Amino acid sequence: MPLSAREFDLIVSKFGFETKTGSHLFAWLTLNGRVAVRTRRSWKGSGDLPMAHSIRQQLKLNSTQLRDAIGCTMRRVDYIQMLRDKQII
Amino acid sequence: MATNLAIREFDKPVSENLDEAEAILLETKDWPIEAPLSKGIESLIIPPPSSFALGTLRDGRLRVEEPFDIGRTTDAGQCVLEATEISEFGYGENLSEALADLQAAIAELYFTLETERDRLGRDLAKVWATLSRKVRRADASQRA
Repeated sequence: MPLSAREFDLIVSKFGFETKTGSHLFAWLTLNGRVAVRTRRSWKGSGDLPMAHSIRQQLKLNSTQLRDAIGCTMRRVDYIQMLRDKQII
Repeated sequence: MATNLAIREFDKPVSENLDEAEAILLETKDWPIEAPLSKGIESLIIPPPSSFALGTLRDGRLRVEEPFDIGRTTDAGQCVLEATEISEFGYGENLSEALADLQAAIAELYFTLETERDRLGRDLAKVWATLSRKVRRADASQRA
């Protein structure tokens, strides 16, 4: 499933990731004082991001969940619960 | 002040040492230039490997002690390299660009996880365990 830079930014913002700009846009999610998830995207291009599946894996989402995350059906609380269910946190 | 010069006569080129019959044999038998050209110029291009071992990060602060297994694919017209052991990737217009991107990403990941190592979640702690086994700070390697 393709993922645009705008959709990436939407997801990390909605789920409360902290971000740092550098050679890439780095994003990480801290929960209970621990860094649980991290990902990054390139500044290059404005269309679909290459390696969307790797970004999805870094976010610990499957294709359906990624679609839900881009849409409005997965909220931050749902995402955190999903990370708990997968024993990421 | 006297200058000493030494002149050495090098061996004659191989072709001049051969007799005519041997030279013809070499041209016709050991120089099959017609074969690849008849298949087109593509036959002369060696495709980059689909997987390889990466043993350097091109960052003077870090030393790779155990190479990373890298897989190469193409996605959306971009060359993509992936280090699945640490869930990291790099991409670019060509292999060189993708390699530089991946190396920078791994180095960045190392420094980030090193800084946060005491407060990593379960999953990232596993990534740090792999990364810190494979990569050392160059100054630490010199001390060891």
